Amino acid sequence: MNGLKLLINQNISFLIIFLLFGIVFLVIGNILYETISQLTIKSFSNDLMNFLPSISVTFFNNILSTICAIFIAFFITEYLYKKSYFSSSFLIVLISFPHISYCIGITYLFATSGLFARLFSIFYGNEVPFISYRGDGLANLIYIFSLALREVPFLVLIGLSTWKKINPNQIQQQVSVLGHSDLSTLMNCIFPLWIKSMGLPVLIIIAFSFSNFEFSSILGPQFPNMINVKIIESWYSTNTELMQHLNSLIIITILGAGVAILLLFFLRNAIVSYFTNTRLFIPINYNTLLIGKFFFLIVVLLFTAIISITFFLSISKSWFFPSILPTTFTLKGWSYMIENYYVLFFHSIFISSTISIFSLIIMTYMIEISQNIKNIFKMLFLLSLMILVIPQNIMLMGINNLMSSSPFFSIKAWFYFSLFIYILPYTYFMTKQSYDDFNPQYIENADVLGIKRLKSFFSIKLPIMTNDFLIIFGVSFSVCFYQFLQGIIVTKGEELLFNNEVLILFSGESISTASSGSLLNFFPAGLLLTIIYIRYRYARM
Amino acid sequence: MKFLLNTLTKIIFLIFIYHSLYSADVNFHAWGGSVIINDFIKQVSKDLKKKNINLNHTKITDIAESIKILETDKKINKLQKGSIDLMWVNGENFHRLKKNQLLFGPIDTIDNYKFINTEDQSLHNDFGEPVEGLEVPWGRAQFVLIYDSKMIQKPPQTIEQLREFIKNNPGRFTYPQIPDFHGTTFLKQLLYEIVDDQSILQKPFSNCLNPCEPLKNLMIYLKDIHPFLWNQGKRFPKSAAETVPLLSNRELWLTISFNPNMAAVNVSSGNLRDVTRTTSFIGGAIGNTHYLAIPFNSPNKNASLEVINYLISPQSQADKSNIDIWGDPTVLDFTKIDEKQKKMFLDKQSIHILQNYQIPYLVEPHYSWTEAIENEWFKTFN
Repeated sequence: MNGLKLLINQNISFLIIFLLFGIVFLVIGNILYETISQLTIKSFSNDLMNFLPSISVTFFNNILSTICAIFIAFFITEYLYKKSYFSSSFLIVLISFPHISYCIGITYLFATSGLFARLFSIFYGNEVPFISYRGDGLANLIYIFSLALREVPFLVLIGLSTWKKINPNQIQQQVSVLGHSDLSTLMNCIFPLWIKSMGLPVLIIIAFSFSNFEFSSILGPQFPNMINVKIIESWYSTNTELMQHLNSLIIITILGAGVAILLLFFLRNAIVSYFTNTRLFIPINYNTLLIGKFFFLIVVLLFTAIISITFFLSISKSWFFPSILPTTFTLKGWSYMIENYYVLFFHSIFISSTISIFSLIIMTYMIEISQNIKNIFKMLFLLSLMILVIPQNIMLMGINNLMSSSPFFSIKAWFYFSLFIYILPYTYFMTKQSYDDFNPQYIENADVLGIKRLKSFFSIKLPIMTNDFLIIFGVSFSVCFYQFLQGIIVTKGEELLFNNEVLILFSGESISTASSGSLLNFFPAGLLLTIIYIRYRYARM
Repeated sequence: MKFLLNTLTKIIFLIFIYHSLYSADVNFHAWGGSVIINDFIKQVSKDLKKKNINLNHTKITDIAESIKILETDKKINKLQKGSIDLMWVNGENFHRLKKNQLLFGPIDTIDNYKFINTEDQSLHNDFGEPVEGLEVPWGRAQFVLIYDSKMIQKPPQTIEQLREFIKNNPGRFTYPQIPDFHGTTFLKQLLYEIVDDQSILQKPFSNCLNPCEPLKNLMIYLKDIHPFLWNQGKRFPKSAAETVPLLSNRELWLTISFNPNMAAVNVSSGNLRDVTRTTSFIGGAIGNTHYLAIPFNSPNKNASLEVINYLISPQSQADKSNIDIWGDPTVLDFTKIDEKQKKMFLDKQSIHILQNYQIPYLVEPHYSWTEAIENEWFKTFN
């Protein structure tokens, strides 16, 4: 009887995973079928040639920003691990900063009439901003570094956990005997080990860069536009020529993301092999902690500047160049947001919490009832990979197509599902990390004492892993709360999150209202993660 | 106590029954980016509560989203219980809705339609496409130039003066990136100034081929001015709204708008400086009308008609045209309303706006020109 129970329980885990696999396959199959059936080789090759500049820019920018993010994160990780581990938990709060607000903040900082230009005008005395010569070269540069720095907090948090497992202090002691300098120890010995364990976070980042709309649209170049922007442009357009490009763009994006992932992994292996076999940095004795400290300060200062400027914009009535601070103040933006959007705001909090908790429960349940956790993790890894490799905008178009052709479920159900599948990879990844870190000896001892699995989970695992579960919930919540493509592509405005409304307000005339919305948007996830940060002092992921 | 509880439950039940029988929900899909417009719709929604109508403003990014919903509904045969009851629409979007038979109509049978001028063709042709009662005019717009009078003493009022201004003041003018609606309208305005025979623009674009000289000349003009635009024409704002902070910070000294009252509205809200003024091309400026339409599968067509009737009533139109509220010009014919109603339209004197529509009104080119202009622009600059 117990054996049967066990079999059923085990099968439930696999059943859930197979069900999810089935839906994701259906979604991907649907969009691929719809796209390919409407494409001819001729039209595709024509579009491919026409979009070559866009493809190159997208490819180049995304690869470069990912590489920058990896190296910056690596140096910051080293610095935080050795000198300021406590500060690392502050990065959790930064993870919760919305992408849209970040991008708008960057434009406020670097515009010709932005904060830096205003500070400069104090010394130069110019009453009128200088003429702006921002071309695509500079736009590409801003895009690469902004995207890289935005992804750094996430990479560092994952990177710290990996770093601990490598045990770099021991490596350093061992290789110093061989004459390695600090830099060569770091680059030749630690980096290859570290980067090898960072596969999934890097994959998450590269996949995001190929599907993000906010970075490409607000900060990216315009001539040519990046592919991500072109897709959404075609999606919205009533222009038949633009609409016809959509199918080619979908295939190009999938291929682009695939090639970029392969290239990055090839590059990773090449760099690892090069660094391992070449004693490149041995003669250079340089304090690597300084590099990490420098990048850490840049990240913290950048985020602080963005949050401050957004706050001032949210309370300013008039704030004209060259004033450093607003000349007249108003709280109209805040009261407008609270008065008009409080229902949606709390609704979004409720949806995001429910989906995050659901995702966490289902993940833990699958792991707990399974006898073969390794296989469950493998399957979940494959599922997460499938979800992440297909850029989000295209996956959501697939869901939308499926939704249109199957009237069995309501828009709401599809909306929640489309949010859920983008929480799943994050929940999986962090849950796996926590389970890897958990000492199995506790449960083995409990087993010996005859304590049932359910009881040992609630009495032993849960209290020990509460910190981890809270952080998983916090990160999943912020990921869910900041989704917005679902509201555009899947529900076409019929179901929205608060984040969507903020994006819409940024297309209007009232910057103070949009900025108030932007800060309000940051509030729930920021508050949640700050509480976790204060309560536990440091986060173990 | 039990009695009280029972009575209370019954009252709540009766209110619920009354509410479901006598009130109707109207789901209004309209762009939600503007706080000013959102506030106006919110006020309308409050007013309509008295008529037992719940007007829900679905704040969308682009009306194309709503059109896609309707297209899907039609594809899956959802002919009765659609999710949209009312739409704010015009131009090529209307053309797409009309072509695919996604609209309910005619809807020009409502009471207050009598206040609309039936002779004025600009109200009954949406971008050259006959309206045929499928939409009801809600507001008007006219192309204007907004400028900083401290930086520009004599603003340009012709295409040649504009070229001269741009070349003499490099980096101080731009237009929203195509295919943004305002950007395309600016190019259409230039096209009007360039063509010898303006009537060609009222005909489908297919009448101007091999090669289409006006379009060719437009691109030559643009190529000439682009190096002197903001960011040397290598970067454009995404929308006209994005140019407002640029103008207020004097990155730009001149920008475009499609609302003659835009400067006044934004000065009063603190978004623009007090020295902001409005002008336009003296030869004439493109004007168009924006409309309200009911989708074919709206489940609340009668209530939607009531909402439209209210929105084109003299009271609502007067509120809408008030620069302290929205500042969107009315579609009503002043010869058809009485003196008392006329008084509701406060003739606000503002130094920031163009007084009494001094600029001749040019009809929007045929909708097929929009796509042709966009494609030519993409080919030349993208």
